[in-house]
Amino acid sequence: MTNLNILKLNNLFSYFFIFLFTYFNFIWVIMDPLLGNYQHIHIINIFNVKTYLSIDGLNFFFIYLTSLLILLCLLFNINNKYNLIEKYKHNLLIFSIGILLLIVFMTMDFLFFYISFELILIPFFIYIGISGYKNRRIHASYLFFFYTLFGSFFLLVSILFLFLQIGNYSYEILWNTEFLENRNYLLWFSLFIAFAVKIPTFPFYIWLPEAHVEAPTTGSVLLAGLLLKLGSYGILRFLLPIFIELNYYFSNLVNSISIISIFFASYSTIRQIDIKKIIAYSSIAHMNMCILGLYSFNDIALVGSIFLMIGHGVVASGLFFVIGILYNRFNTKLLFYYNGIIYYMPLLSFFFFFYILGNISLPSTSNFIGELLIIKGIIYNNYKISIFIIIINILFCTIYSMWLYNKITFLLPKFYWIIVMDLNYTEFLILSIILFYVLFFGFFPNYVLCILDTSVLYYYFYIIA
Amino acid sequence: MLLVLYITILNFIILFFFGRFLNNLYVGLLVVLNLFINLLVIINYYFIIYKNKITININLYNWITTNNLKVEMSIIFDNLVILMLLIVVSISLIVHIYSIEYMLYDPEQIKFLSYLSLFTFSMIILIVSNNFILFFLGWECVGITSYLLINFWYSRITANKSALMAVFINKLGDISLLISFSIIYFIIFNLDFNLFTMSILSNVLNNYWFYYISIFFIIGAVGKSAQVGLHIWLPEAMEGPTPVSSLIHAATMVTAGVFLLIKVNILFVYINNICILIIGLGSITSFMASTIGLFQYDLKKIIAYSTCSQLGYMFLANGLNGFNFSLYHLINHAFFKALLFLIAGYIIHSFNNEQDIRKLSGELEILPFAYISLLISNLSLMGFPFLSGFYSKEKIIELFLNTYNSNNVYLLNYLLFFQFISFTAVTFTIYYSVKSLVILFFVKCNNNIHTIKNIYYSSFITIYPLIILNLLSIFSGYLLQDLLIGLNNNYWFNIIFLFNNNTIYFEFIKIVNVLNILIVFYFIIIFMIININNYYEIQLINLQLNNLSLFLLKKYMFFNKNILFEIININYNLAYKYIYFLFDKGILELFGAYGMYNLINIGYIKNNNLNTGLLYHYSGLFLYYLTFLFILIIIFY
Repeated sequence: MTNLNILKLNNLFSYFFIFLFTYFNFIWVIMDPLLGNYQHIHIINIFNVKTYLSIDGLNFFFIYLTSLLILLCLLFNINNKYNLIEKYKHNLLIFSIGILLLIVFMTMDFLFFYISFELILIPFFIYIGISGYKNRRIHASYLFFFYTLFGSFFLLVSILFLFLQIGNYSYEILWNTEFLENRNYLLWFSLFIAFAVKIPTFPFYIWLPEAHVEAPTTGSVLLAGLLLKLGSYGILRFLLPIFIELNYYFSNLVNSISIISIFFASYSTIRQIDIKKIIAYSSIAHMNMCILGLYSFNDIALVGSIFLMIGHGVVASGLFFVIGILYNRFNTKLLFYYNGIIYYMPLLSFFFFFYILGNISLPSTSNFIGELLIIKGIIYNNYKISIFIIIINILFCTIYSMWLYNKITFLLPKFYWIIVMDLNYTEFLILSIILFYVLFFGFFPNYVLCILDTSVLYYYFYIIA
Repeated sequence: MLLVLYITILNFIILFFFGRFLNNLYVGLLVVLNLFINLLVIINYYFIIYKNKITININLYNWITTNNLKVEMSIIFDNLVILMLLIVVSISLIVHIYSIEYMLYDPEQIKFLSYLSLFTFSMIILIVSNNFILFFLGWECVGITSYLLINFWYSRITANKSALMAVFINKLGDISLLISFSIIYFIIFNLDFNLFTMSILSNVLNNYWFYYISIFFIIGAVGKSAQVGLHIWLPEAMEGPTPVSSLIHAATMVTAGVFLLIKVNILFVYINNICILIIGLGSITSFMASTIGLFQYDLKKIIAYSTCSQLGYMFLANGLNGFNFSLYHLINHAFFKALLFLIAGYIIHSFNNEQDIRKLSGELEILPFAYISLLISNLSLMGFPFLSGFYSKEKIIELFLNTYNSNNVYLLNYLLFFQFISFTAVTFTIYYSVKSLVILFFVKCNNNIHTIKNIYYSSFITIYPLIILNLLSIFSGYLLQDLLIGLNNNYWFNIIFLFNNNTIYFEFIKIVNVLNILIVFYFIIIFMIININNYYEIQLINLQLNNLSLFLLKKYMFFNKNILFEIININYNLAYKYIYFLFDKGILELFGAYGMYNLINIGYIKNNNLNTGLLYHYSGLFLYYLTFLFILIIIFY
């Protein structure tokens, strides 16, 4: 291929996602807030296989987030110092991840869900493997691959079980079937392990910090912003609606697992020296808060945990973009070498401050609404230990986030011999778009909540209960 | 009415985004003008609301709406709110004017002014909020702006440390507030202040959850108002510029906790058992802070500890159900403490940024204006008769006499103890204020000739607001006495619960008043004599009280700092040794992918050793497997 063709293809990816982003914006406007069921169904017919891609209130914001973040990642790669062909490779991988994520979130077949859920592994595995300079990246990508593959075996087995039982791949039939008692336990456990690896919860979470450290900036943005949501989205679509009694039966187990992982994640974060690891561990803690919300069986907490997923997707991706910009300038991710960024990058530290405020869930940022609703739901169910753990989570999150910000931006600079530019136009655009969403979700959450609310009510009363 | 909010946020926007294109002095004057207009608007509405006895409710928009929860951006203006706004905006105006000159040689003066405006805005939001969540927004934003302002000279590591400490300790209180809001929602399915008071008045009272709510409220207020246990951040926060200490850590932000307790006063009226907790916290804080203040030589830290002890008095008044007394002391304290800090900044600025009072000594002839203002504000702090501090402080201590009459007879012993403690705290306050006055002005000059020759005299921009504050700290107590704590007043109609026992002991209180005046005089004279005896040798004070001071320093410092550091240390070690190394890098890796990887690696190496290429090795291996197979066959047949 000539360079011109590659350039055209690169542009094509971004045009496609610009189109998708505007389309989903349009859908947000015309979404019917009174309808809880599937609203926009697209019938797709490829090779005589007929599938439905559809949008309802539950998955719409995941889809919106996907199109937004993929677009921003493609934008961010403009500034990369790779040559054109490598840039094309990166963009192709991001594009394929984006398409697969859209299919995962939009599909109504669980076979397609499984296929694309697992197919995401391949481009991501390659993406971690080809970029970076340390030998450890190969190790990290293996770790990522094997941990998630371990979960996916269980998912494959359980999906085959489900298919043998109902003879169809449709969600709607799945939600209305009942399973034998012996099968129930097995299915619940295998599905839970499959999604617990992706969330990730306590015994399975060590792949995430490694993958984050070795992935490129856009890779860790996608990982934190979107791939972590797959596990909780799976719980939302499979575990909660299918096994109604078993969920109540195992709710203490799930709560204790997520409590342990919040505790461990927030404790090990305060001793990390790698910036990316700090954000990675904090995202583990936040995602487990979402699981606490999902398993408190309360419509408020359900809305709150979905909102927290979206808010965390925005805030964490913003933080990773900031770290990526810093890495492009200084070529290090170790906290020790950073001091006094505000002297030469005041604009970056302005944006960074807002994302940190989002991470510690200051009111009027996106994470606050989610955490508030989750806490309300948990107190409604009277889980006292969970409240204690949430206190620990918020306190430790404040400690490590503010400490991270303080260490990076303030004090006297150490890099006084390096000439650095502040943000250029693309970076400014990316960060300001994310800042807009952080504040928009914080100040005007009703635009999200009005859609989430009815669909969660529909989901809660017609499907779960 | 919304102009109050718009003007302050406009100030912030002008300063932060467009301030760099404008002249420092002019943009400062513009902001001051804006704030002055703001003050005029508030005064106007103050008279409207006070005369007509109305409350104004404005609903901006629906903030959070789910099927059960509904939170509105609604704000309220009633007698309490408008009075508090008046105080905050007037002191903010004075501090803005002051910092135009104080920060003139700082390259980031405009940023400083913008942070001050942002702080004022968030404080206004905190005050005018009508529901708990909007209140929490103001509460948190105040903390964050305080972080930015303490950390304003960010290249200093001490400023960084103290700012972080302020954020972390405040966050403890914030979380408890968040939990208490959630419990309130759990009980009454609403988060409005009005509905909360209504629900307490109705039969929900028997609900045991209200104990939890009040305890969480108290923890939140303790965090913000720097009461004992969580008070450590306040003296540390003196690392910030002096206008910041004046506005945030004396007059407005630290009183937010007291304001919260006043706002939900009806809760503490009905739950009497909790009140003893507030009384205890307040009196212990006032005692402890004043005793630590005895041995401080940093000018700003002395004032910081005195702030801490005065906040203790406000807390105490809340516990004794004298909410209007607490607010009255809050207002008076705001004026004289702001003056105290600003004049301290004036002294520090003129003596080449020196803060140690032993090095600042003997400036009676050099800075006469500082002497006058410091004398007035310190006398007001001590409770010198007919200055503003006298009216409020003595009234709070007298409140103890009222409680003997009330139902809390079984708590009488505790009350006596706490009364004794808070009385002694008054004398200690007198001691350290007199000490700082004597050392600053009457002791022989300790400075070198260079600094005295190059003394910086501030211009009228600094002096005029200080004169206004001087007047206020003399007269505010007298002027506001009848309005706020007068007998049979109807200013607090339906807003604050009033204690009606005042009338019974009125004659008795008159006698106690006279006694208090005499006590204050007596102690002032005694401490003057003690201090003037040590006229030339300041170190003598330390030598005389050597054992006591050592005890106070060592043991109090444990409460002061070490207890926090110990907790942090334990958690830090736990995090590193046990959680990160034992689990993340140990067990999870051993039984996870790393262990698998190692297992495969070892098996691979051992297999490799078999491939030697020698025929007799292979034949031996073959024989070995053959015998193994035979044995298996024999066993299974």
